[in-house]
Amino acid sequence: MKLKYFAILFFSCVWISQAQTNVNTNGVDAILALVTTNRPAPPPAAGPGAGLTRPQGPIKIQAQGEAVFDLNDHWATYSDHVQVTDALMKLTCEWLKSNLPQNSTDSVTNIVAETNVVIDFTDKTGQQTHAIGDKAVYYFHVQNGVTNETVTLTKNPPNFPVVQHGQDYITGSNIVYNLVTDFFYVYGPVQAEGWPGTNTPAGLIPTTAKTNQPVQPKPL
Amino acid sequence: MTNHRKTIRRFAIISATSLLIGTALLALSVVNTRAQQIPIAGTMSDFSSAQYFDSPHQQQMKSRISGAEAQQITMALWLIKQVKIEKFYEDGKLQIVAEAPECVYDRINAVANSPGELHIQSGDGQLRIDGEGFLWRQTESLLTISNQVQTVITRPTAIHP
Repeated sequence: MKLKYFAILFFSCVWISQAQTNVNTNGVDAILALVTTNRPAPPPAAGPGAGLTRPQGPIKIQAQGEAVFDLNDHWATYSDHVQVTDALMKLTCEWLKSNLPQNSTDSVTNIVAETNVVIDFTDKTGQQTHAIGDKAVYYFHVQNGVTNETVTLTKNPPNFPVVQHGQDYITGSNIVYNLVTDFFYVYGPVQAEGWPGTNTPAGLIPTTAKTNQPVQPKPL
Repeated sequence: MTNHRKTIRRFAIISATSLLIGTALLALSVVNTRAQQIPIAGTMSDFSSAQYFDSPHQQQMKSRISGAEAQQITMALWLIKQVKIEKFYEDGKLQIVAEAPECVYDRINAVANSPGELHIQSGDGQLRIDGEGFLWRQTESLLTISNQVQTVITRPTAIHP
């Protein structure tokens, strides 16, 4: 299932690179890559996991080294081989700061992970995605009954964060994963590399799409 | 020859005197060191030390460190056993409670530390923290856990679609 979205993502990038020659794609249900925008796009009305319930297991944070808990300001920092796991995500890094919920109705709303950040996402359908960056910011917010839950991945230039799904990968200056919809948003400059078929043997020349052109989000 | 003997005698007297003075100083230092380590007030049970919020919540307890038993090590340091550290909100609700087998508490600086294990639970039970070795700065409400920290945060009821 996830591969399908990577394929869509890949074709979206191809479409972006060919936009100036008026070559269009058809049958694209969603544009997952938004290039050179400065703000996150609103989540689409329906994502791959729409209608499925996200498991609500506990969040576990482990660290081999020191952790400091500021009980006045409700923050905790962890260092040295930090690992965060919940039902659908595993994150490792070297340093992490998280807010502490103040009462039973609160949730963890902000997490900042830094240095050698590696995240393994599992979407609601069970598909796995691997992401690498220098910094990841988790944000959870509920407003008017609408849940926003994202992980934004960045990396210091000249490198970019990478999201991998099988043999496919995509990079951009920012990669935003919407945990509610299971969509990845990639902000430019975007580079994607993919094998259209999952069973395509490795070693074939991959197709690469590159662009630095600012492109407006395409209406669905 | 006589002068030589006098010189030897003087040297012997000076050496003996130096030795005596050195021994006396050493003995004094040992006595002094031991004196610092001798418990001043012995052992007490049901130890408790609390801090309160600033005005206008000055009646409200901010944090408390307590223990089933406390031994005074020096004027400032206490060895507390079966330690319980509690931190409260301004409305009196329990924020967290931490428990450890023992710790050393500096009552002048309001700092507790231990190389041993520590177990923490939030007042609502949704947060659990375990680790080894800790430093509790009571005035700043700052808790540092040294190693092997594990936090488990139970999430509230599902909000996701």
